[in-house]
Amino acid sequence: MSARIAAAVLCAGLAGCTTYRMPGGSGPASDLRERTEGLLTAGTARADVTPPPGPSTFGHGPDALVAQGYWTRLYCRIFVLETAPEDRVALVACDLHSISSILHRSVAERVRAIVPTSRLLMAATHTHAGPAHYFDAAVYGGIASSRRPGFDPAMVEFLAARIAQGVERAYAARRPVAARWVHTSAWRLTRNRSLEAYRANGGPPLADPPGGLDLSEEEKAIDPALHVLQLEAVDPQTRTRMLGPAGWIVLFAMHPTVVGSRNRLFGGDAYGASSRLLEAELRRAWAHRCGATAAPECARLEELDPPAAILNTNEGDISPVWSTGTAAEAIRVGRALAERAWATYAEDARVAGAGPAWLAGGAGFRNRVALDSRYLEVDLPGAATRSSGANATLCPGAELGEGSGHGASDHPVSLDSILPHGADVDPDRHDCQAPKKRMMGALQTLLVGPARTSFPSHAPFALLRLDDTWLSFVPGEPTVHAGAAINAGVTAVAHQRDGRAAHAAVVGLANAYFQYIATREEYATQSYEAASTLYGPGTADYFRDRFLLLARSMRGESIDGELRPGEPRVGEAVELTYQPGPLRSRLPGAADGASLDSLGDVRRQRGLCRLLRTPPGVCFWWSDGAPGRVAIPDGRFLGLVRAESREPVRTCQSARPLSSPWMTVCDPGAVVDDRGLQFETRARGHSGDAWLWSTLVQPSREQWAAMAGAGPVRLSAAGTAGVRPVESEAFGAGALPAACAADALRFCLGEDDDAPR
Amino acid sequence: MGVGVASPGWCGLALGLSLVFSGCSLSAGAALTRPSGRDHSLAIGPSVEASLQLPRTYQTVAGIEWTQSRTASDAWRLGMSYGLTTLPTAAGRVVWEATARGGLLGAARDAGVGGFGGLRLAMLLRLGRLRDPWQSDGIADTAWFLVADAGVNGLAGGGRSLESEISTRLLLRMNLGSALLP
Repeated sequence: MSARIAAAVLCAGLAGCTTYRMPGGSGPASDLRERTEGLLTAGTARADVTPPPGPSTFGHGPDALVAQGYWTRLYCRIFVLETAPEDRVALVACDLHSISSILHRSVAERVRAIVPTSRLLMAATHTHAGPAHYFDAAVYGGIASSRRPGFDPAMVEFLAARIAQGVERAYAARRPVAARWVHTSAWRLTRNRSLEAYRANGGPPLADPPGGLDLSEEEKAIDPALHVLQLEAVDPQTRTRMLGPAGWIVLFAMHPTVVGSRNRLFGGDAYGASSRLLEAELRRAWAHRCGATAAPECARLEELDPPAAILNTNEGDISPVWSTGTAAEAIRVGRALAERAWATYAEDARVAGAGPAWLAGGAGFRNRVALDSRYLEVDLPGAATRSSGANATLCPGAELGEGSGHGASDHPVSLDSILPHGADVDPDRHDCQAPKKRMMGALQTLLVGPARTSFPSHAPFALLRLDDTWLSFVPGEPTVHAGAAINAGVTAVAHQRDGRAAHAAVVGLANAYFQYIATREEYATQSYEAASTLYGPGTADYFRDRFLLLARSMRGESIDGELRPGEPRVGEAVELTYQPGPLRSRLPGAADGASLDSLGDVRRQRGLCRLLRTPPGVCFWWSDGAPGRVAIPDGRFLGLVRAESREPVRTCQSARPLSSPWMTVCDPGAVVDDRGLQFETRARGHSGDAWLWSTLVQPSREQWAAMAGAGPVRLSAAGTAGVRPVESEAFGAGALPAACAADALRFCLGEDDDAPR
Repeated sequence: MGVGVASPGWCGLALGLSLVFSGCSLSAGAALTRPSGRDHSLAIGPSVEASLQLPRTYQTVAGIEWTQSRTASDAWRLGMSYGLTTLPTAAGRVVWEATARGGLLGAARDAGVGGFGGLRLAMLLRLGRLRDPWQSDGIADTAWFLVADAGVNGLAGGGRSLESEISTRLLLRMNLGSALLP
């Protein structure tokens, strides 16, 4: 009791703690019977969640810099799937670092007419070039969680509103589909960054690489599993005739952290590139099909844009193989993953050889599948596992270890040099968190806060079955071994009525964020991931146990008897409170600065020059409105238009196509604008109401080739409704702008914010 | 914006302490006091103050101040202050602080040591160019402020009966901050 009083006094005296109600509560599931197969429908949408410049990035801890602009747009790719309203799920894959509880619940509150909280399944790609400031736990908004940290309710509102609108669009776009899973593997893209901890698990490697691959030990110690869910639109009358791709979901284990901590641009990193390259192929596949059939969709081919979402799996200790940390390298890594995923379709003779009238059932696509889900919330502090042995309960409080402060081996935290050095294991510790060496000792509580909600504490676990594959939505980052244990447990319980093998994959960073989940053996090493496992050595066992319970529930068993009195029931999203980190205004407001309309002729080109690269790049800088005023998340902000007609410049390809029998077919959605991979756009500063902006455009060879036939073009920065765009001088492939002078080059590359004279 | 911490040592220790307690500031300037009792004369003298923004909101400040009023009955003051600041949330030039203060005051003519306590409201005017968020996210950063404060104090002991006082100060403040703090 005295500790509670002391904590309360400390809290009140130092922080002025304010408690907020978590939205999105909902009751337990009423029907937990095992679901049978039904005709599948799916609706998809894309929600742009790119904030304007000004918020911090998140993921590199104290090295996560404030974003000055964006490289790729950040998207949430949304799939509403159902065979009946009772099994409808909304699956949301976002280009964000992770999903916070407040974000999940805030979206759930908005879309409760479509799905209950328990069937809103959100996951993040784990880009470290997404925004901060949307985490309800104080530790992720407090000191050193990023540069200029803080919790901003406006950021939660911004993200939640846009994602909810996307869910509504996806729901409205539902149509009959057929689906198939392809389970394959991808080597040489990733490596294990905590090999010592991985080895502590003992036993043989989890996966054997194929012969002939010359791999390092780190490259062998991975989970190479690549799971691809392919959804294909089918004719609504027959529900069997296959029309074209409706969307893909790709699952793979990799931190998408090619772009390093010096980055100041929002972006999707390697997974952002993978998605875009796959989406170009899905559009191209439609164009190919429409060349042979007359589906009604073919009349609006340019509007067809099926999403290709990437979900991360057990990536806790898995890094991409990278060296330079540039955007170009992120594209290279993303392309390599996209090639592996695309090969499952384009190199499948059953698909490549399918005629225009191919039917569901061909190539393994099924229009009738089982779709089921389970959801269970738990308060983690002190929760008991069903596993026997020592540390069978989670620790009563969360804690970061000394090893967490070092950062991951591939992106060490720069402040590490001032932290105490030596072993990260505390041999004298014998409590629940042993052998974790507490980072900063007692100062950790002072700086993070004594409240149990200072760290995340309430965990949602969700299990989704789609056809023959079970996906465990893990609110954190399981290591390879921790994720494999969950998968093994789920497949042991899961069963298929038709005799096909059951597959399982974890979906990391889902619905909440509890940092890493390391195995008990890894925990003993106090590697970076283990030291960041908040609730002690039993965490992985406990997580596995919850998913086993959910798998049993999905099989039709009652698990009520194994839930403690007062614990949330299956499907229940309980009422919660939270105490976030300090409230700070970080998201630029839509009312900040002067309206674009009032700026008049101030909005104009300030410079245009050519970068001497092969192929050439173009730098354009101009005066415009404040970051919250311009239309970044509302469609195209920057793009190439024809000088006279102002029509967007369309090209046959945005980039070199991925291999397929129809790769010479044009991508009907190929345009040169900032929703692709070619623009780096920055706000540079302001003088009075006018803000200086710049963009560096690096068209691909394919785009330059197409521009050669397009005549004069301009770069155009969109205005808002009724406000004219800002346009550059006309130029073209045959009449390039003048070469950038040295000061202009530094400015364009972001090395100097002063505008060239 | 570089981190630039190459090795542990005093530099690292200073940065580490700055990380923990940062938002520390040092102010110096002139104070002007006017007691309401028998000594109605205006007193003016130097004043210095050091303060810290406290974890975890960094909107609570605690400080120590020393003022030499240079009157015979109020030669020096040494006090502590505690209150609130808008510094972490202020986006423009103006920052507000409201603090309670109390401490000791000493007289020059062997009148013993007395005490003082009161309330103070300060307006801080940020000097120099306002920077955009991405221009001000360094691990260590300095900012300069002109501080104008006004307060009401009660003075006691030191050979005097309880009396009230109006005080005002004009200070130049250097704030050592860090973008690691919210």
